[in-house]
Amino acid sequence: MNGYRRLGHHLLCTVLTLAPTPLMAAPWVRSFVVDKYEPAFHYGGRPGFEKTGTIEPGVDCPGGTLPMLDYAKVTKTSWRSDEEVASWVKPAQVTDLQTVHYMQERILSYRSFRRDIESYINPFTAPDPGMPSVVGKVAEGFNLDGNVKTGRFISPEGEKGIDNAFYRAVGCIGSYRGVPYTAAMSVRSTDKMLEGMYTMVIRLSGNEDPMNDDAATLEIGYSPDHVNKQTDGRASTSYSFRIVRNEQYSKVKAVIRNGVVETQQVPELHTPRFGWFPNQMGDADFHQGRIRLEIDRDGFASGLVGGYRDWRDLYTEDTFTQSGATVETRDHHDLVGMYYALKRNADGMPDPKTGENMGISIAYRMKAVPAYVVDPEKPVALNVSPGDSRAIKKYQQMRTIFRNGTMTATIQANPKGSSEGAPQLRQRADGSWTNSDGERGAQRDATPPIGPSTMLQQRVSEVSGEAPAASLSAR
Amino acid sequence: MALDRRLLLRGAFHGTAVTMALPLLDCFLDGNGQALADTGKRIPTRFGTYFWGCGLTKELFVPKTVGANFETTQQLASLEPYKKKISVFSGLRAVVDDNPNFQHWSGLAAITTGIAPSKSGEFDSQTIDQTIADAIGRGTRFKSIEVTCSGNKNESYSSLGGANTNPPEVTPLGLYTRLFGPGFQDPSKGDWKPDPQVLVHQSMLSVVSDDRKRLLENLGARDKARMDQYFTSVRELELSMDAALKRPDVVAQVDIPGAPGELSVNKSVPVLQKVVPQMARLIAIGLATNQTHVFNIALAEPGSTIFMPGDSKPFHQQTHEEPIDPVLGYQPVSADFSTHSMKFFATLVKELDGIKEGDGTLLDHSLLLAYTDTSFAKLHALDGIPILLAGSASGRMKTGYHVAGDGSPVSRVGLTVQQALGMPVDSWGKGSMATKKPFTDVLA
Repeated sequence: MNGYRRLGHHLLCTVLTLAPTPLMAAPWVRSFVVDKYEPAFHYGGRPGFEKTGTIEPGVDCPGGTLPMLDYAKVTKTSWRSDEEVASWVKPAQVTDLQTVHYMQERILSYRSFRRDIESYINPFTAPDPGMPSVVGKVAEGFNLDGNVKTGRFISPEGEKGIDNAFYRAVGCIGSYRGVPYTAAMSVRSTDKMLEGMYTMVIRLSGNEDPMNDDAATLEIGYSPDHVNKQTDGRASTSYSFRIVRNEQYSKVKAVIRNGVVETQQVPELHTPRFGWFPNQMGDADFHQGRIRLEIDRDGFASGLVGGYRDWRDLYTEDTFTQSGATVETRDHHDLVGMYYALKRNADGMPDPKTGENMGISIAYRMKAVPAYVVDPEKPVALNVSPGDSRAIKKYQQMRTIFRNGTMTATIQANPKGSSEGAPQLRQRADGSWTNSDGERGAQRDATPPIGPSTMLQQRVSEVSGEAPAASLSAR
Repeated sequence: MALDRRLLLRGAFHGTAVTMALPLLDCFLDGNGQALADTGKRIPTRFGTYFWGCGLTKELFVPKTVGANFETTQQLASLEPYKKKISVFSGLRAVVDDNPNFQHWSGLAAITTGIAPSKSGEFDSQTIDQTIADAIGRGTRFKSIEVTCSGNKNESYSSLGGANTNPPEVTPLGLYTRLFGPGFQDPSKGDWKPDPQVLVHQSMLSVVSDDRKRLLENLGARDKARMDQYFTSVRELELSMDAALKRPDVVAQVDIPGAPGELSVNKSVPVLQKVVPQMARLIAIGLATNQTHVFNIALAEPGSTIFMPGDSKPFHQQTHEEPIDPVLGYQPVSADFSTHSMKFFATLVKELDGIKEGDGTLLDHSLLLAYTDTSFAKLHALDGIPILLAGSASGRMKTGYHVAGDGSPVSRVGLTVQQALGMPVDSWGKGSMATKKPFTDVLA
C-alpha cells in the first residue's frame, strides 16, 4: 500500500469532513473500506455453557450441526455394492493416504441414480439426504417483503418478520458457524480479502448532516486498491481507494437517522461477492436489496446487506469454486443436501411461468473502517491475472451447465477441463499412486487412469469423447 | 621459535608445492577460546535452515509474554532445554502485494528471499542460505549441504533463483557418503594430506586461468561480462579446491561415525523419528569438521504430508479437513503434527548443542533459521507465520526472546540474520517486504 494514498493527497477533497456539522447543512462525504464480511447467521450458543467462542450445539441447531460426511453412507447407491463403496472409501490395497483422499473425492462425485452421472453438476439426480436446518427463532437480516408473518425470524433487536431463509437452509453447516466473524468460512474469506484478493468500498454522501440526512446517497462497489492491514488484523483507516463503476457497482438513495443508514429497497442491488477464491469474485445480485449501516462516533461502520439471491447462484458459488468433492471433504458441506435445502427454502423471486421461487432471502454482515473512496481520474478495471481470468471463465461455464441441467431436469455431462468428477489416478514410475494435481505445476490431465473401479474408465471416455465402454453402457 | 602452523606444513606433494594448515590445537586459541591467537580469526560461524510445512498452532505456540524469559508453550515444550538459546518470532506477515498467495509457497519464498514470489514453485532471487553461503561458505569443501528427511529429492528449498533448487541428500547414508565418503579426510587425524586428484584439477585450472586472461583481452564488453559470470563459477571451484588442499581448522572434538546402514525413508512420523536424528547428527559433525558452514534441512515439503501410520489422513489433509474443535478452538490432530515438527527441530538443536567447541558449543557458533510456509494452514494464511532462531551466531545474537512481530514483514528476520552473521547489509526484501529494520532487540 503506497503512502501517497494517505491523508496528504486529499487536499482536493476539502469538501470532505468527518466532523458533524449540526448547525449548518453542507455537502458531505463519508467513505469506508470493508474489512470483515460474512453471511449473517445468528448463533444461540449452548445454554449454560459460557466458554467464549463455543458454538456447538447452538440452540438454533439443537439436533447438532453438519459434521464430516459419512462417506460410506452418502456414496451407497442402489447400483453400488457395499464392497465397492469400501474399496473406494477405505481401500485396503492403497496405502498412500493422499491417493485414498483422491479416491474418496472421486466416489463422492458419483452418487446419483446412475453410475455415469456426476453428482455436483446434477445434484437433482441424487437423493435428498435431508440436511439439518435451523430451527431457532432469532436471525439477523431484513423484513424484505414487508410482511411480519413471513420469514418467521425475529431480529436480535426484536423486529419481526425477518427474512433470512439462507440461514435457515444452511446455518447448521459447521464451517459456516461461529460467533460473528469467527466461522471457518468467514475467517477464510476475510483473510483472503485482506490479503488483497478483493476490496469492497462504500461511499456515503449528502447535503445535510452525516449523522442525519433524509436525502443521502450510498455507493458500493469494488476497488482495485488493496486494503492495508494493521497489526490487529483490521484494515488501516484513512487510506484512499478508487471505486470501480462496473456491474458490481450500485448507487442507491438512503436515509440517515442518528448515524443509522437505511437505503431504499431497490429491485436490483449489485455488490461484490462474499468469497475465498478469485473465481468467486463477481456480482452478488440482490433482488429487493437493501443496506443498513450504523456509523459510530469514530467513523467506523457495521451493518447488513441483504435481499433475495438466486439460490442456484449460491449453490454455484459454494460448489464450483474448487470442486464439489473438495468442498465436501475439506469444508464438510453436504452439497447435494445443500442443493435440496436451498431449493426447499427458496422464498422469493417467483418464476413468472412456474411460480416456483428462484430466490432465497439472505443477509451478509459487514464491518468497515473509515477510508477515502475516490473516483479515478481515468476509468479503472480490477486487476485480474490471466490465471484467475481462466478460472473465472471455467467457473462461469460450470454455472451455465448446472443451471441448464436444473432448469430442464436434463443430465449434464462433465465438460472437458472441468474440476469436477475428481481427478483420475495414475501410477508413478516408482509404483506409488498420485493424481496429476500432486505434481507441482501440472494440470489435471487425461492420462489413463488406474483404480479399483470401472468408474475411472468412464471418466476417460467423457474426456476423450469416445463412447463409454460396453460394460458400462450396459449398466 | 614461535609456533607457525603454516610454516610447519609448507612442503611439496608429488613435486607440487602445497600449503597445509595445522590441526587446530588449543595453543592456537586465544585466552577466551573464541579465536585463533595468532590471527585473531574467530571460530567460524555457521548458518543453517530447518524447514517444516503447514505451520504451527497459534493457540499452542505463541508465548503469552514477550521479551526475555518467555513462558514455554505446549508446542515449544520440546525446545525447553534450549530455551535460552532460541528466539521465537510470532505475528510476522508474508506480504504478497499484487501477487497471488500461492498456497504453501508464498510464505516459504517470502521468508527465504524477502520477495513475494511471482510464480508458484519458483524463487524470485537466490535464497538467503545461498546469499549467506557466498559470504561465509568459502574455504570449506561444500559451499552448502542440502538435506531432506522424507526421501523425496524434490524437497529442497535452497536455490540460486528460479525453479531450480540445490539437490538434497535424501538418506542418512547418502549424506554420510557426501560428507565422509570418498574425498573426505578426517582433519583430526595425523595422516591428513591433500587429495592428489584435487591437485591435478587445480593445475588444470591454472592453465585455464592463463588462457582466460588472454581471452579476455580480445573480447567486447558484453562478452566480457558473460565470461566474468562464467569465471566466477570457476573461481568458486578454485576456492573450493584451495580449501581441499588445507587441513580444515577444527576446534570441536568429534569422532567421525561409521556409515549408517540403509534405512527406509518416508514421511511417516515413526520413520522420521529415526531418520531426523541421524541426519541432524551427520550435519552437526559435518559442521564441526568444517566440511561446510551452511546447511539446509527440510523435514518434508510445503503442505507437509507427514503422517502417522494407521491414521487416514496426512498432515496437510488434516489441516484442511479436520474441523476446528469448538471448545478447544483449534484442530487437535493437526496441532499434533505441528508439535512433531517442533520436536524434530529440537533434535537438530540438541545435536548442535551437544558438540563442544572452544568456549561453548557448536550451536553457540551457529545461527539456525527454522521456518515454515503458512500460519494457519487450513486457510493458507500468511499472517502470524512462525519463525524460530537458534544459536547466538558466536555471540552476535541475543537469545531466549519471544519477539512479537506485530505484523512486521518476515523479511525483518532475514535482515536480522544477515546482520548477525556480519554481512554488510542494511536493507533486504522487495515491495512491502523491503525493510531496513532488523530486530535490534535480539542483535548483540
